[in-house]
Amino acid sequence: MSKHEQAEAEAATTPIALIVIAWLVVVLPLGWGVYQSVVKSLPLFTGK
Amino acid sequence: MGFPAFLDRERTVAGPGFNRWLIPPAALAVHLCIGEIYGFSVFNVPLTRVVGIDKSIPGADWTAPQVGWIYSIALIMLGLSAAVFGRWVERVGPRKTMVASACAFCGGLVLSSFGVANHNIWLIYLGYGLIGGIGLGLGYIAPVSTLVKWFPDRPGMATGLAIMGFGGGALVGAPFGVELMARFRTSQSVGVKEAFLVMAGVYFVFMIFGAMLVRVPATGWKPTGYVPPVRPKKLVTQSHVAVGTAWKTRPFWLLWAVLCLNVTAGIGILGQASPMCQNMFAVNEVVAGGFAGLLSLFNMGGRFFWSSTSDITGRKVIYGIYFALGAVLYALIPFAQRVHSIPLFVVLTAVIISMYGGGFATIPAYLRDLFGTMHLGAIHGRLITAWSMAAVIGPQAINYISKYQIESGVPKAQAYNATMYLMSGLLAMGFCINLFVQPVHERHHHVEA
Repeated sequence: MSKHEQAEAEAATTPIALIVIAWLVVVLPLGWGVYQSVVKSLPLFTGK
Repeated sequence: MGFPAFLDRERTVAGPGFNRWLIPPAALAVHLCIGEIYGFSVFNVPLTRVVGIDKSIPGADWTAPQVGWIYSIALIMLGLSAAVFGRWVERVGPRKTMVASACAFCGGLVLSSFGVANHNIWLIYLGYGLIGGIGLGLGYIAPVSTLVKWFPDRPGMATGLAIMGFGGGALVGAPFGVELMARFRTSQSVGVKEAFLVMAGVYFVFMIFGAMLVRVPATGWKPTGYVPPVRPKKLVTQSHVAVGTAWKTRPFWLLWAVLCLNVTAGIGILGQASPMCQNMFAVNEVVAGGFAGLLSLFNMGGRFFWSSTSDITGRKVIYGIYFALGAVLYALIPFAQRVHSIPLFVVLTAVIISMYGGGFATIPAYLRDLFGTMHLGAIHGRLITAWSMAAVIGPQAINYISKYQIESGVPKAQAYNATMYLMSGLLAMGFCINLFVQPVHERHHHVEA
């Protein structure tokens, strides 16, 4: 199988939607965690 | 072991069209959950008030050192289980390992909830520490080794991606734990037992999601267009070393010491982030929880940044930077406390923690360079015992030295200074040891029969 054919096979077999959903499942809670951490740590810098 | 057949390695071999970018989220789903251990410090103070609720009652409530052992036992078990089960993990594959990890880690949380309800710390040592710690070890090494095999073209980035999730676990776990405790807190409960139960359920679902997503590459699989380098770097071998041989070599033990010292220094801050910040700068519990979370952000980011950078600089050079820079920054922390500069303190600790994370993320690639990929997971598992050693030395050193200083009349805010100089010295030692790392002698290389 040539590189081009292999690349085509990969693109055809794994649905992009599945990759997007899989990443969203982990990125969304992580993003919430990042947001929470930044908001709650702001008083460290403001001194309040 | 009685696992269903669909969890077997043979059933998880990817087909020719599988996209390898599905593996990082699978790894992250597991590591983000088990990385909650890094946010455990938000439970430290509430666990010392299970009886008194509003304040700790001496003689009735658990002490800070008693609670500190939960974290240490979990990390000891992480290292031991990774070392003991490393060969098993390679044999059965990542999916079965991840399911076993989910059962142990979440089951441990449930048991710990009962421990809090009955005010029996031994149940928490058994649940979160022993059983949960085994879940940590299994979950930690399963996706790491798998990702390295999926990304032979960028091993540093691959290990950074995998281990980044573990570092990011506290970003989710710390505020999640604080939110849950706040929601369940009553005049009769600090909310920890309820928080543990909810966390067990949520984390179980996430970890099983990762297990269902993960695949192993077929034998001989390579990324499209990937050509192995013709002239590899001096420290990068094209051969393989069996795990039974690897752990008897000098480079293995030098790396063991390198990891142990790097982790000891970082874990000393990370494991005690919340109470240390409260004592040094008199901030409240919520802000201190945020500090723990902020450190986790750098811990996570450092894993990806420094490990990816090591693909360019080489592993030995990057560890030299971790140790030299880390030693200087640690020595500056007492100064930050003296001038009461919280921003300086945060910057210093954030950079230290980023390199601590970087050290973790780079070690599998360092091992891959020296020992090849044949038994990478198992060798990595054995090396992680260094982490266990550090889990005892780091937090306990901070706990006991600061307690001793306070009892000797040193003001609470300055009680951590001696420990900071100690950590700086440990990093200087690590710098020297790293200089001695050399390639594994050819006589140790595996020869096909």
